Amino acid sequence: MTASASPALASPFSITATPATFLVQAHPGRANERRSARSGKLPRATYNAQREEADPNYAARMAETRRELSREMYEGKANCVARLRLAAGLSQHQLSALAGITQPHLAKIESGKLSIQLSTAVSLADALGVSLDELRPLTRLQERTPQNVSVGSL
Amino acid sequence: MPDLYDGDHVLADLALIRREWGADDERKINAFLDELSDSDDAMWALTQRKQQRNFDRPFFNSCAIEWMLDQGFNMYRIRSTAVVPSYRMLYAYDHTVDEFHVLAVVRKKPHTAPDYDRRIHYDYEPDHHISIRVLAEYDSLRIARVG
Repeated sequence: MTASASPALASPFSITATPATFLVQAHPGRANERRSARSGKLPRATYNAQREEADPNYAARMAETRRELSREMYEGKANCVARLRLAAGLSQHQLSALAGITQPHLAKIESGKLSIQLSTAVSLADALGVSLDELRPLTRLQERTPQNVSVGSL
Repeated sequence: MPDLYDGDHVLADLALIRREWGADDERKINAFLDELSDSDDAMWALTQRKQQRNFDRPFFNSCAIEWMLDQGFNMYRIRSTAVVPSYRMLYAYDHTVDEFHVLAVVRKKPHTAPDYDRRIHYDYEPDHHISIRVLAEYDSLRIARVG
């Protein structure tokens, strides 16, 4: 099987095949990134996150597109983390990096699958540039459960 | 959670969309697919083999491409109901390695146009160049067939 990364991002990496995945060997910050067992490519969200890191103009255009998506996808809907994230022009990868949490963790928060610490809620609010008050459903739940915040209704 | 990967022709498909219908559509499709791929629930919904499924946040509808499935190709299509409803994203699911592969992004044939340009529109015709290309890539990636 031949591992073929997307051309624009292929050069920093050397690839070692494993039975089911490919691991990035050369970039210490990106070790253990999953790659397709079939094509050797990065997941599209990872690829696009790296493209945005490398191309500020593209990143700016994508940020504006996400703001449009926040209006088109969430019109008439209550505020939620995903809507606030898109309104800030951020992808999950970008917001998770700003808030100091992992992208899978953020995905679970956005889908209401887990409770989060108040400190995480504060980090998210800071990263989004909003007050905790704007995460009103979260703060209301926090008043009931001082240690953990259920974000199921966010 | 399974990951979503772009096939070898997706960038070219998006470039065609940019030329024919503008960069906004291209970027919206990219952002929509990123949102979809980052959502546990949405990715889980893509693995279900029901006739047709609706999903919200991001809003989309997906269903199997029946004639391809009948031939053993585990192929589906996504329609973004809120963001870019004129387009379809054709994807394969490989259950043996738990991966999704977007193999094409196409502009759906307009409902009101009996004659249309098959170079830039698609309606799941088996002899359409997109269908032929998608199934060839499916096999070249060795994506598992289904019985």
